[in-house]
Amino acid sequence: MNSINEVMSSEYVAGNKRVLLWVQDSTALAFGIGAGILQLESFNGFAMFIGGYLSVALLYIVWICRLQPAKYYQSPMNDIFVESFVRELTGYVMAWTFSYALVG
Amino acid sequence: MTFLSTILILFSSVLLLHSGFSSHEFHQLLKNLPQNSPSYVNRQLPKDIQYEAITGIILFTTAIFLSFKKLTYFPLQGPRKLITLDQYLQEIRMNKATNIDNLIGNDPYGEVNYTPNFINIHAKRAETRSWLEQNDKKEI
Repeated sequence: MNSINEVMSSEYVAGNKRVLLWVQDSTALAFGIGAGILQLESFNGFAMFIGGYLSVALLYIVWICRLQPAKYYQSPMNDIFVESFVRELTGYVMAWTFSYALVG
Repeated sequence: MTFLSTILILFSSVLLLHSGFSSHEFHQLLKNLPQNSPSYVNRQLPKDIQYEAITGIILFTTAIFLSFKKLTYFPLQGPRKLITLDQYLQEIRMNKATNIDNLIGNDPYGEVNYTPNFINIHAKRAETRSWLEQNDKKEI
């Protein structure tokens, strides 16, 4: 019985990850641009990233996953919160510094 | 992408651009002030620009989430009615993932199961011919 539940559709596993990545990429860039416009510096900027990243992830779980992320991701905590953290952080810092330099 | 989300993305981009330009102008004005003047020392971005930028970010995030559509299927067999599921993502468990194929009457292994090489083409032609003859009679 267990083995039947362990069989996953690799196509949909990859598809769901791609959707999540698109949401996180676009919102991280928007948050970065916002942080640059607000001229946030040092800890405030990173705090904004943490706040934005967590709120987007929670909103994703509530709105898109319908509070059942285990249905759509093999390891929900890892896939949603951990796996793309560094990727989004670098994207955020790039957008943040870019708009900071443009505005200031 | 839905119409509402496209409109919201455009609107939030305008908000972000405008607040960015306002912030840029504010900082250009600040540069002309002497470094020890009280308005330079207590410099802070005006509240309206802050609110505009934050509103832009929130609207953009909302628009991204609004761009999701619930899964819909048009069944190949049975009544021609659009089936809407109460979910945005595809379930990954294999016994659930194949539900959609069953719903729309799709055979994911059609390439293997459907073997045109083994079709008795003469029987098929005869079948088609008889069907055409019958239908022609009906029309007359």
